[in-house]
Amino acid sequence: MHSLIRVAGCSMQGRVHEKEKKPCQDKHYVWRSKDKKEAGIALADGAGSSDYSQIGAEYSVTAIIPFVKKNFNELFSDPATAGGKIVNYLLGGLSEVTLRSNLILNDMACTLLFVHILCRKKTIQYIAGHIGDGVIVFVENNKIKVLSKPERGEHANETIFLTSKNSLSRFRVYSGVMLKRKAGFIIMSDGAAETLYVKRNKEPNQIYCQTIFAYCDKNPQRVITKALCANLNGIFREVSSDDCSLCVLRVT
Amino acid sequence: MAKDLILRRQDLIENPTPRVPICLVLDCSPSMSGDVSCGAAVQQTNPRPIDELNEGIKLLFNSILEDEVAKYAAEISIVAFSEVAEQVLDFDSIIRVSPPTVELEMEHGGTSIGSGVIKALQLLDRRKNEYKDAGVDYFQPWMVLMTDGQPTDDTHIEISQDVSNLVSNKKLTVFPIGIGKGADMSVLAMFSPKRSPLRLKGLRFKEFFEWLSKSIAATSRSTPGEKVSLNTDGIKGWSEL
Repeated sequence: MHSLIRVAGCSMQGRVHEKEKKPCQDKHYVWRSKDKKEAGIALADGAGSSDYSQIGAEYSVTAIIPFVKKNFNELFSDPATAGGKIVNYLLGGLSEVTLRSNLILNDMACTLLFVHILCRKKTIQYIAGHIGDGVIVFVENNKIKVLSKPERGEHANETIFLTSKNSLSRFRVYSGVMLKRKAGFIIMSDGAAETLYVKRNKEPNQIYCQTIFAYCDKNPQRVITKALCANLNGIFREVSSDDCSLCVLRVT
Repeated sequence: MAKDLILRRQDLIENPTPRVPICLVLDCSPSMSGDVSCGAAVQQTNPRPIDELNEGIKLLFNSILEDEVAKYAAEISIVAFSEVAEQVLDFDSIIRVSPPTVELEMEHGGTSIGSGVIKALQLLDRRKNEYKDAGVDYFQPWMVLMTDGQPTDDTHIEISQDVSNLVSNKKLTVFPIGIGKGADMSVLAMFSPKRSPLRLKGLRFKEFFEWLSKSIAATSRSTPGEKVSLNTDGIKGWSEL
């Protein structure tokens, strides 16, 4: 039986931004190749300090997946230098955006999380990248584990952004191979992590994450997307007043 | 006590909202009665400064409770000081506690500003550890220091240096406020390397606490990367600039 990759994502304006009539600064992007052997998910959380950070977030999520797709083998074979290549590429693109928009680079400040996979016969190769807060989780042997934890300062409004001075050294890249069957990843912004990540013990919320993966096994992408959005608009929005975004990639 | 501790921990577990811890360090020495025979710089017996201060605290609590986000984020503790410092209110969710009344301390007299600040820092440190244990995020803590007099001991000298270091390292935000003409602004300035102390205009405690509640609300809404600017226009409503 052929494996099937499903990807879905959603971003939802938080209560505070709704009240202040500000746009949702979380952006996401999902992609799956036509032959369904390759896929990527990405999300970025624009900095609250900038009224334009959603532009940087939008650019980053739409640019990262094609870049990783194009350079997958090179990035996979040398993960130590992959972070630098990714950050330099994105900063170059963001600089062009700022020129076109008459903005400065710091206006584009955003976090970034992505996962890109390539299916082989019985395994998948993956590359994941992360800067700032938010969480990446994955499933292995039916156990949900954290791949990348949030990186933030002591206080609640301190984190690292793609445009931060030290972003080259702080961009984390993960790569590896795992069994194809029932592989899966979830990436979430800090707002969504309030629900899906238990900060006390730095572990994923097993029940919620399992539920999402199980739902992906039984439903088409369109339905999964609707369900994610319904949940973001429900429990996630009740728990956090921040914008929330969430993407899932599942191999069934 | 043990039951209360469990409830406090339970609240940290059930409410994941990042907290804004605020410690009010308030002078309750006899001069706060407004009576010159008790050391007040200017006779002010009706209304008494201490009564206006307590009305302001009530207003602070009520204003925060009206804010959808801040009411889950703000946690207020109160330390009152004269010759000695006492904890009037420990940190807790503002939803779960009523605003207390700060009583004048007529027995000992004195104004040990340093003792009040030392107590406040102890409370803040303990609460930060509780946040860390529970996995609750928190914003930079705030300390509001209000006095109408000058210190009657030297406890402020060493601790003000510690506070200054915390402020310089972005570990603490301090609002030093002088009440009336008797407040020693140079001592208050020792606690605040970045922001000059402000003197309350008359007894405008309500205006000050209204401004404070709005500032807390703005901070509770801020997201990563966002620097919250204080409403400087609002300061004019209660401060002698």
